[in-house]
Amino acid sequence: MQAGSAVRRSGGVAPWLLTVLGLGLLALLFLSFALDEPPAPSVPGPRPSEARVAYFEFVTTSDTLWLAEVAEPSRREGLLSVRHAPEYGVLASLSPAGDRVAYTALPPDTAAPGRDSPADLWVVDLREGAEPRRLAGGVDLLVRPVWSPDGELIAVRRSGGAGGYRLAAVSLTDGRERAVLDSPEAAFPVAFTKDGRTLAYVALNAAGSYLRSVEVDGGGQSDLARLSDGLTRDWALSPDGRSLAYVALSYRGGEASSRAFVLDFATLAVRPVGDPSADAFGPVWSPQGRLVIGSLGSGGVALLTADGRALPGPARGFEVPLAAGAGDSGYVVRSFTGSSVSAPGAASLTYIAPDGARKTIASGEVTFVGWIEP
Amino acid sequence: MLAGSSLSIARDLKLPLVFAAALLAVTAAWARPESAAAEGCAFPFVPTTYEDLKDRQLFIDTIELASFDMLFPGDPYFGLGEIEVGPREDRHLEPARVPPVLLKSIAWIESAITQAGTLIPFGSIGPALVSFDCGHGVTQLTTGMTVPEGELGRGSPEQALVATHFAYNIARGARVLVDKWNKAPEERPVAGTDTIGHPAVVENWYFAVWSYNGFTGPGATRSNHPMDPIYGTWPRQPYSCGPKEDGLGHNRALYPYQELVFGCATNPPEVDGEPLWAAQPVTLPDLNDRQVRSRLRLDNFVFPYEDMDIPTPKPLHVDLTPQPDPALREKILGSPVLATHTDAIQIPSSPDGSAAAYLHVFNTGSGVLAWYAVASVPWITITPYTGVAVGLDMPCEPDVPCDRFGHMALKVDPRAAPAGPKAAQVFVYALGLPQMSVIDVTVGTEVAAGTSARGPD
Repeated sequence: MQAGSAVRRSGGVAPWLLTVLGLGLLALLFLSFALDEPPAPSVPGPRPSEARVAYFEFVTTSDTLWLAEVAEPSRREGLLSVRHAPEYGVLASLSPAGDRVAYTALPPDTAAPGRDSPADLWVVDLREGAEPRRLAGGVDLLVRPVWSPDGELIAVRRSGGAGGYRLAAVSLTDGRERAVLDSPEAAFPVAFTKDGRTLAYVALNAAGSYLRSVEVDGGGQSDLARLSDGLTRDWALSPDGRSLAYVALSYRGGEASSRAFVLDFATLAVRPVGDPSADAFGPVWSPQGRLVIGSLGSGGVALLTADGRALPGPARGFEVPLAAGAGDSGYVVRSFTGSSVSAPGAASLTYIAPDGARKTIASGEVTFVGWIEP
Repeated sequence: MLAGSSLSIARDLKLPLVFAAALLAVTAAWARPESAAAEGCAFPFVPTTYEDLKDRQLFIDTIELASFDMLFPGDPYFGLGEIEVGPREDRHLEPARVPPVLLKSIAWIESAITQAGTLIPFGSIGPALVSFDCGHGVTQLTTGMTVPEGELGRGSPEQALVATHFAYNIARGARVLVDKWNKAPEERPVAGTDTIGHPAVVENWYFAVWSYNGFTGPGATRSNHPMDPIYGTWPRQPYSCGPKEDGLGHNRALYPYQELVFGCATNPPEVDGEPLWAAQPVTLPDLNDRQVRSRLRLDNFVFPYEDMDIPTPKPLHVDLTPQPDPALREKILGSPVLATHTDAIQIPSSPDGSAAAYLHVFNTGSGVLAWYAVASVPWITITPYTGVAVGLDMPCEPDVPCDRFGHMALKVDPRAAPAGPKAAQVFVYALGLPQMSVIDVTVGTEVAAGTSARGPD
């Protein structure tokens, strides 16, 4: 039982006639491009010399991939329009080098689409003129693709097989796919190790969230750590690969809370970060390894760094970090105008400059892809 | 691909050409016939069905009738039956009712309230909507639709009604929703521990609606657990089926099913600028509330889920949709009358069994007639063996497919047929009605492979 399309046709014209008319118009269109100079964009595009942000803007039947300057978001460029099943947007991730985007999307002609409809995996080069390439079909729409550090592999998840869930690695070189893990437990790919040979993933079962690893080439599996006795989310590996930050829904003494933690791989110690009385959101690392989390509690709202530094919150609402720039170049956050998780209000993609000034990058329904350093 | 220039190209003079070409391409694609049925579902073909007009008024009226059990009361498969009411430890049965707005919202989320495939125009007749996981029609029923459940490996008459007739599909969807409600407390949690779990409270359907899409837990692709990490955005704005400019969320990939349905009830879809129903506020459990969060914790998501019971989310609401006029049932279902173009037909004989005779089914009455054909012998194959014949009172839009007749091909399986003269019968039933036609079938002299005896145009 799943969702359907809200878009319908009104019918009645012969397909051959439509095809002929369409071809004629396309020919006319081609001629018009061939004879004219390309139009000058009314708004300048982003400069490669500046930090940029990539994001998808959701529309009912297609999402548009935009590239915008972080500090001057009006300088933006539409790179790609991705048609997808009505009402179901894409899920994307940026390659480590910041030059490609992998995304999952439901094919536009999916009948009665739903979150569990088989999705396609695509990759597109952000360089001008590149066409997206379909790498695989039948993957899970909602599980974000994970890149290997060298950008040669993408980890995806498939559901419904004999094992329940399969984590697979797809090669960008030859498109070949290798099964990495078949698991009866729900498994989420988190990150590859630096050498790309091992994939860390989180497994969920009734006893909690577990961080495990598996050799990509079919080797052994390892239990790394029990992250929580409950649900965890927003797992983020530090740039040096030594720590994993995440948010856990914790239950202590009958109290429920959403808290951020950091796992140290060397000691396997887990330590909380942030205000214990506040809800935590979206831990992210800067390229230099500075951790920042969103915090919403009785003491107000703030972005907190792991060393306890608090950045002043917005005039109203609260913010969920999405990316931190290199050095002290600021943050990209999802801003909410409301005051609580249950009433978050309107959302927008926002840049926070080092001086605390905020600038809206995009309003409305936006899927953040990544921060691209110059 | 729009690489090389900004999207300001859309404001260029070429825009009309781009749009026109794209529109024609899309329209040409839409003009293609619907794709084949999902493999392994109730039928090896996609049965035909009637599609409502764009305003969906017929289907929405049908939903309201179904919500009040006014379509097929007492029917063990298509009637609502009884519903359990009361606290976990003291449930009793009452005649079932479903808040109509929930059924409307479910129908919108499932199919945009359409019975036919997405390529089929409004106000027309064509292949039914069948999803990859065998969801059928308006309510996208998968329960009981994934494998043939009839005799001889066929889809059953009940399955045929679900696939072909919007009213039966909607009625069955309502019944399945009630069945999901009734799984509590033995197999599901109770929503409404402080309101005796009464089904008149819309919010108390939280777990039943969740179950309609599958009571799946954390990590699953179809997970509907509201705290599931599979929903990449946290927190998330309330979902809306309304206009894209309403400041709410519209990307369904970001929401568990019950949030889609409750959000759609609160923010109804619009067709040509008009909402399909009056907005009905429905309160979701407050995930900011520590008690609610505690109830939804991971280690509570264990069968039979008794530790997940929650109080009614506040403020609570009651759907005050008035009970429909009983006369509406007759108007919607009509009075179908079964007829066939002949009562005797001859199938040409061919060595490879490819020769066919065609039998045509009419509805000389009104409404939608779901027909179902059965041969008296196993060596006659009928394809398709179910579909619809549509009365003249059911409106079709101009210039859209509107073949009101049912058609089936009768063939002889030469491997199974006996030697010598062959005679048999085909029975054509009007499903849900006490009507049947009997067709005498004979097998003709052998003809070349591929030859068919055609019925009247």
